[in-house]
Amino acid sequence: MKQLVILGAGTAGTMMANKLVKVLSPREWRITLVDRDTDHIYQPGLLLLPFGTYRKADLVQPRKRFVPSGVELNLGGFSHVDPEAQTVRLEDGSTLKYDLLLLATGTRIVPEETEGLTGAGWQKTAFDFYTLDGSAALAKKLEDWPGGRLVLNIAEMPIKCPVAPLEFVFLADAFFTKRGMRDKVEIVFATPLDGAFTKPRAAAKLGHLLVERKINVVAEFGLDTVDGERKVIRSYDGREENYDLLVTVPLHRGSAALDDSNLVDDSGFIETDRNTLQSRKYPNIFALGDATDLPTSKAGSVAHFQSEVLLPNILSFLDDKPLAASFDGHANCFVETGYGKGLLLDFSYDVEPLPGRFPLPGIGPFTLLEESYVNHWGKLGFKWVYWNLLLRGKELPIDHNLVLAGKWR
Amino acid sequence: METTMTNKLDLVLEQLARIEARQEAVEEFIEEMTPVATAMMGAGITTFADFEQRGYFEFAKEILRAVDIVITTYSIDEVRFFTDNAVLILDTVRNITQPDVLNLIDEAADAVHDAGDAKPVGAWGMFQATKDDDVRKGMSVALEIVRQVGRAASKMQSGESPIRKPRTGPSHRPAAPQPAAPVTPTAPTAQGAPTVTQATPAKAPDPGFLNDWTVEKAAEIAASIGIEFTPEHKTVIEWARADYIERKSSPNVRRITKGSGCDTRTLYQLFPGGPGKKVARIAGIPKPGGCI
Repeated sequence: MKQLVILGAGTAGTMMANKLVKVLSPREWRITLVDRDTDHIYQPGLLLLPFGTYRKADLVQPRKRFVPSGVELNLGGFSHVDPEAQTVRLEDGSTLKYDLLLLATGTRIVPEETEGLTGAGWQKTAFDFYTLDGSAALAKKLEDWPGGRLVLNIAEMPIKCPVAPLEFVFLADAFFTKRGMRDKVEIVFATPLDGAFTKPRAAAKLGHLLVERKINVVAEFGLDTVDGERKVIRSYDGREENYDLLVTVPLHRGSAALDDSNLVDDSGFIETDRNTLQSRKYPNIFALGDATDLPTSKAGSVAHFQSEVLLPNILSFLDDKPLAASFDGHANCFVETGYGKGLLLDFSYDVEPLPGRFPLPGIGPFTLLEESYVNHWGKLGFKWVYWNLLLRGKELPIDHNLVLAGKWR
Repeated sequence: METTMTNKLDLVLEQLARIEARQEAVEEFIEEMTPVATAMMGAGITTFADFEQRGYFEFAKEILRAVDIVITTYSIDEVRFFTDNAVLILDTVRNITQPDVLNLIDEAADAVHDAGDAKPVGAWGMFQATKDDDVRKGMSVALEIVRQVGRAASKMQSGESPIRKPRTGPSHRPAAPQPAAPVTPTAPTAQGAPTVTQATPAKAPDPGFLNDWTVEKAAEIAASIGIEFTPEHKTVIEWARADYIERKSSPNVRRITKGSGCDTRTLYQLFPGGPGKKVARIAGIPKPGGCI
């Protein structure tokens, strides 16, 4: 009996479990899916929670609901991976031996690694919206916040859902406008990148949104320390921005349990082949989702497209054949821009977000790099697709590789 | 008492069985429809991509714009007049666009073009010209046109309706040309899931990647942006370039500090004001960026 171990029962791990159980014979393979808690959180919803669109309960389901029969779910967590011995040590001390290991351990925020961030004022005047509790606390704060200087800060890349900070400021602008208090709020977007938009087409098409919505961009701001008493953030080159309300996207790292596995880089992200999704060090280890070091966005759509490449590659690997499927870095992300509208981005390693129509050329219905109501409905409607189709490993009629048809160059 | 319970339980079991059957049916439907949906999407993408390439959507947009212009330019009464007299208008257009008439206009236009070369004609020249058969014919046609215009003008002045009934009866004009047989776009021939054959874009040269980079060049670039290129700089720059070549993605400040061994504060001293960008520039690699 061969053993396949999947570490991580989030989006990527659950999808792969559902796909693999259909193609691996139960007489040959035992599949174990490991995670450390019971709740599966719909992370795209965390952006909308602070503004009252969702409540906590709307975004949580039990992990086991999406695990197919034939896959053993272990929610005790793991503490160590030994790729030489091909074992995984679980938190309860027991050991799992594997023939094939799939890493879908995701990424987590580490606000404690920024000096001062989790000190005075944390969760009182400084918040994150990347955790369920953080997002809920921010929602409570915004309910009766009287206004002032709102600073949205990205500590450093990579982060998951790289557009979420932009979405946040757009939604905040709409939120305060609807409450008739927009003139009492100054919104500042402090980013370590050299602008809110770093890609030329996107910058050309969308730059005006920041000006129109009166969002001030402070660029090249590498977050060094936070002074929660004075309510000031400080960059590595000595610049300071004061705030009344700080919404931070903290540093991200990979799973702590992989730190000593020899599989990860200095930030804890798994060193992965950018096309085959195989570990760059051990051929019987594969990785996908936020946990990798791939130079593409950390997003659910990316994990989905990766899963469609990973499945045939795993099967090829098991048959001793060359890994033919290749991931092209494809990502497809809805971006909320407030007032009931949104954008859609469709891009890959080699192709920046381009304008056009998706998925049908000329028809759409979604508009690329262009605000529309349809895009917003698409984003909201996706929640159903996520719980009912995506997680269960169902195919969607969207090519996993980027398609240039419909894009305007 | 017991029988009522068992009866109730039986009913519940029946209901559960029905719900389960329905659930299975829905699952099956999704399973069956997925490849169909994928195939339809592929076909749709190919077809609409073709339309877009050929300009159908741009054209349709212009038609909409034209309709909008007509609607905003003309009053509803004018549009009503237009629709009431559509046949007359179309007939007139058909008249004008008959091949022989078009030829006539074409020749006349040529004559206008060539008019620059014409020498001025005096009375004697006119007398000479009337001996030319073509000129005679032309004068006859011109007179006929003038006569018709005069007749129509009289009618207008006397208040008769300017709208003529469309000409009935045999016409001495040649029959209107038949419209060409409609061309149907060839339907996608793929069975199963057609792949959209888009040539993957030839890998565009990375903007910002210098192919002929050397350490000396790095020193030059550094000097040009006011940075003195010390061995400490060199270590960082060489690491960054190697990292880009391996991962095909430019390292940001955090990655540079973790990988090159240079801590953040020192990095900001070595490359003041945006080390991410400066390191990239000196190392001849694209600047680090996000997805958007």
